[in-house]
Amino acid sequence: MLPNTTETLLVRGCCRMLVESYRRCRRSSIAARTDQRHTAVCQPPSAFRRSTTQGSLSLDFSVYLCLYLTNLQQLLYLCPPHLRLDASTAQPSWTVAAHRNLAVEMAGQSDPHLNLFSAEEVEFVAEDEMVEIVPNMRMDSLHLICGDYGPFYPQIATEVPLWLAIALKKRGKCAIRTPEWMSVEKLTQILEAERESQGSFQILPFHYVEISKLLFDHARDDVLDMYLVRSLIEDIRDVRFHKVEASLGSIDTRTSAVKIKDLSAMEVNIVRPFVIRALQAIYKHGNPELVPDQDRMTNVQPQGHDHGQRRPLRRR
Amino acid sequence: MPSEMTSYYDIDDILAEEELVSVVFQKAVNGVGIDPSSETDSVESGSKVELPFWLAQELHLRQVAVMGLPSCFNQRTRLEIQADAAFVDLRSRCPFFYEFGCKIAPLVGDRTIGSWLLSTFKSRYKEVLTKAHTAVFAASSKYLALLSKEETKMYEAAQSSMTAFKKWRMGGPRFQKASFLSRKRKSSD
Repeated sequence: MLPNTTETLLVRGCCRMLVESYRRCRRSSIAARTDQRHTAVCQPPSAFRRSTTQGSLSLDFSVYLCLYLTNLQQLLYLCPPHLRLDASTAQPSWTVAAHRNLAVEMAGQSDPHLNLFSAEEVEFVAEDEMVEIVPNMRMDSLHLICGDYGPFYPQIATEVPLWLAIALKKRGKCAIRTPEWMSVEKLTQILEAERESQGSFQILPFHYVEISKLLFDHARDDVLDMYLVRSLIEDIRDVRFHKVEASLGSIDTRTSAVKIKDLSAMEVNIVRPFVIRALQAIYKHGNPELVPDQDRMTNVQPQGHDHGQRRPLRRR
Repeated sequence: MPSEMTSYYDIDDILAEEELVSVVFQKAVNGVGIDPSSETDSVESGSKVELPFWLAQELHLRQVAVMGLPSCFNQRTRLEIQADAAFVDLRSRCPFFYEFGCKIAPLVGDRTIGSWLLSTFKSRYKEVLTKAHTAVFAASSKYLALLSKEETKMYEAAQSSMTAFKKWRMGGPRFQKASFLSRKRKSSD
């Protein structure tokens, strides 16, 4: 199941482009949908159409893209490229390996800072999370490449991805229901637990930073106690980030890996460039000198002795 | 070795090899003008010369000269780093401290350098991380002067990702100024 190199290269080359065009496609299809007074059937650009035969290649790409983007979520294991994960410590699926290959190749070539995703790109990934909306208009279901949503009836809640919710919200077609974890009680609980437990992190949605920011930006009137909620989330983020820094202080030299559970996407993204470099340096200084140096020393000396012993043999 | 080939075009790798090393010639060499003030173009055996690492390495491998341990890896530096690793000025000692250490360790035959570099790095990198994320720009320049080039890169990587995040958090429609506001004021003036 391992993707071969050409596929990896193709995905690598197309990834950024795909993200761009995918984003544009989403926007344009929504615009078409709402501007034509809900009559036209939503048509994504042909490259993303599901049913056509000519679209098979680009469909492969989009599948890879999806895999690629979702793998970010699994990859809380930040490993240097040289290190092979053994089956006991990591998910043995090829996706992790593929992701790491991609990450390393992309990072090494295009970006000098080894920063794989910008904050905007992480936000883009977060827009695929589902939220509940209460529409105030009637509309048939939307058939999009990421799934079918709707039909929409006034005052009946449905689940849509965040990007769709925001697009509808901007046009005044719905109200977004704040997720359960974004209530004041829940957040105060989490903040307290976060402060008490030094080693571990509380379980929050993987994209809590981005989701909360998007909701504060686009749906301020739907969030109850917005200022309190916002400051609570800021506090939680600060506490968690200090914990991240503290736990990064103890990188295991033997395995050259860091394992931190229940980190969120943005937190991983912030520390990634530093951690990759630190791990690479630790790997570099930890392994090659200590082991081969001694080998070389022991190898060289016996050879010298051999020469000394052979010469008299030849003379005889 | 593949690892050497990947850094072939790396400018930092080239610069790291510019570091001066003291070298003792084992053989007399003719036709080299290492010292411009000397009368003859020859070097006698046993003379001690400071050469850049890339040249010293070749001479060392051909057994023309023997490389001495550079001052940045001597006992005094080690004691200083043992005392308080985070605030030792590595840049003035050797800007490419780790890279140079890796290159010179197998040639000098000092096995402790490898593990010592690792322990130095481990005791310093955490300070780099916390400083990069918290320090104000003006205050950080003093600390930056202590770091080796490798650490500076890490510092910049950490800082740029943090500033990118802060920029993203502050951005968006919330803080954007409505365009008609500024226009109105101009017309009234």
